[in-house]
Amino acid sequence: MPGPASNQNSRLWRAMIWALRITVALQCLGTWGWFTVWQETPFLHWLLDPEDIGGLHWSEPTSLAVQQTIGWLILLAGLFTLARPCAAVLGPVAVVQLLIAVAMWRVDYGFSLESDWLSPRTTALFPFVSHLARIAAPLGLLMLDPWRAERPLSDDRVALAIGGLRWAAAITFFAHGIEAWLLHPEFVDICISSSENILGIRMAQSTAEVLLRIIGGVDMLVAIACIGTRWRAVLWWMACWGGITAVSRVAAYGLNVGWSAVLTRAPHFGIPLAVVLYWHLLEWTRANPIAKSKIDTDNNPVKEG
Amino acid sequence: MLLFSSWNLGFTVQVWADAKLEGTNPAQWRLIWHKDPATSAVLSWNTAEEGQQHRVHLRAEGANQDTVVDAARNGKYSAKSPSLYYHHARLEDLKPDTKYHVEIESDGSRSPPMYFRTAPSEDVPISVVFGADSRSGWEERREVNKMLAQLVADSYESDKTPILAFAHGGDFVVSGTRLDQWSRWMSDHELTTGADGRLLPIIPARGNHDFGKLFNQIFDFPPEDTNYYSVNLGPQVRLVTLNTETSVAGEQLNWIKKELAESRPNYRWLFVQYHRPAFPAVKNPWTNLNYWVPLFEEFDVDLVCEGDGHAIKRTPPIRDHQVDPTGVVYVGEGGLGVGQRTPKEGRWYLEEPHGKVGKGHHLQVLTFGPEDLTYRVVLLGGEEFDEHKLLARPPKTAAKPNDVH
Repeated sequence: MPGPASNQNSRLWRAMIWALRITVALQCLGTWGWFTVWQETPFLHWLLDPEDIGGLHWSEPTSLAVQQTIGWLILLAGLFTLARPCAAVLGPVAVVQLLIAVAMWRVDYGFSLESDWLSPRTTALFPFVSHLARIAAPLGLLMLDPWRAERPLSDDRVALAIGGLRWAAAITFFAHGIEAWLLHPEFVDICISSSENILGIRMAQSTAEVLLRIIGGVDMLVAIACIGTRWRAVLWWMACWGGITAVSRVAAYGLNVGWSAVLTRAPHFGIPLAVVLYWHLLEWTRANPIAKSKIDTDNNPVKEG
Repeated sequence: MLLFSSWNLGFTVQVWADAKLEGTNPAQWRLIWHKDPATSAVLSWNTAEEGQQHRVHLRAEGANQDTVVDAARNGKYSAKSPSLYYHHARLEDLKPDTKYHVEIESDGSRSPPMYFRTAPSEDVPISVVFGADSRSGWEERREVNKMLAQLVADSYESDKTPILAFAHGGDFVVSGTRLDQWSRWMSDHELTTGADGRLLPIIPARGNHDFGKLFNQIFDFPPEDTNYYSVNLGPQVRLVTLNTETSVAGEQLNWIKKELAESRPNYRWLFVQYHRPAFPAVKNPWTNLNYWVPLFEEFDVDLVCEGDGHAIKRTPPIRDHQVDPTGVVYVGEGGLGVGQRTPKEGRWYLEEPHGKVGKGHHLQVLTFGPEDLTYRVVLLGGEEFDEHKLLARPPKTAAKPNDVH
């Protein structure tokens, strides 16, 4: 059976690549806003904090200058991503996203998981889980849309990239499901504020908490289904829900405050979208063996992500 | 028991510190106010071993006999390491403005003799120290605590207004689930005990780094408590402690509205403390800007103490996002040891001459008099950075809270 590599000129393949390119570009724009406009980031705190509590203890002017420089470089990287993704651009983007998670781990920033079964040192690693999609998006794009690489890409490479993206989206969804299930106070307030701003209805905290339990439960189930099944509806749901939850920051805080928070979360909807487009491509390939055979040049078995 | 010496203010101070955590030796004591400070207090301590009998020997000044108060709540901290046990003795039915001598006893091991004073029931001038952010800069934190003990001792000189309590605006430690960090903080907190054994009551607010169950275990809040509450520091002074780390827009908002509506007509001075700032000197405004600030303005709160920024700030009175003599003044930002940031002095509410910002480890002393409130910032080393007076607002009749919508 011919492999999906044969369809790397199809519209669905191009749609998937552009979904990822736009995702990473939006992520870069959001990170630029966070680093240069808002400035207060876990990364900055990591640079500033003293060594005895996990920081690097750099001076404030140096820390701010480093962060500003990275912010502008990442904006540039976002523009390059739209024009021509390559390792020199996407590699640093992934490293910056990884460093944000490292910073959150080192200075205990963001949602704090507390568990009776896991030590505080272990639960402090939670940002690597909750931020996995943000780290994976540029890496996935790098594997699927490399510059100057021989085309078509091998099935192994495509399968590895799609599989990685799928796992990253699922793990991130699961992590956010845990946060919702544990009634992250910021999520409670996002529910209340969004309801008030969009519907004009003041939601009681108890209602928001019931809603979050449901959302958290669904998120975790969807994450499991994403890995355990090949239902495309699951990925479409993840793409839509990832978009809604990202945009809820604007609904709750307003556009001027929430825009960068929305954009940094672009991988939450962009990755499921890219994966589901690829699955549609596989389905189309199976349904159109004649069209496929015209351009197929090898007999690799199908590798599915 | 070790004795430390400090020369921060130009003269020698001796303070109790670092009681050994071994066996059932009482250590890491703290006196907590979160109910009625005129008639109650919680005296808490830790032991390294569980022990059997934990109690406080209590004697009012002038009385002949001790009263023994058993610890009402004992337990092992939920964190696995280090292995520590907490004990909380709830001292009730105390007399206002009275000196109480206390000795803590766990299985026969006794603390040194100490004492504390309850809040007054008469309308007399009082002072409170506000500070926040002690999560890092541990050496500086110890120095600030020593300075605090000295400030309190000085305040009891005849011509001064006594400092009754220490309002901590949060971020005690970096990781709220790490008992090793809390243990270190609690040992350092012993340094606020005066050389003569005077205990300084603490009124704690939860900061964004103080997440997890340990906070409630350390400060004797119920396990699921959300840590917003009010205390009277005198018949005319009310402190409202809020929690920026739970829902800002939910039940807490309803509680604030009711609390402020009921308190405003009954107290000359109504002030608030919490961690994340609505009018920050360094960082970005927290969501309380949209939800709490309108209530502070509606009910004419006198002063709001904020932390988190790692700087020093005092805003002009603010109402409707502009300078207004009838508005609310925001102070604080935190400097109990944590490294200091550069405040963004170009923000409209920080610009001179109406506002004032700076940096440096510090304490903020609030003195509540019959006609005015004096705010002073004392830097580590004793230098005064800022002093400002607020006049008491005209008395207001009771207001019925509108529904929050």
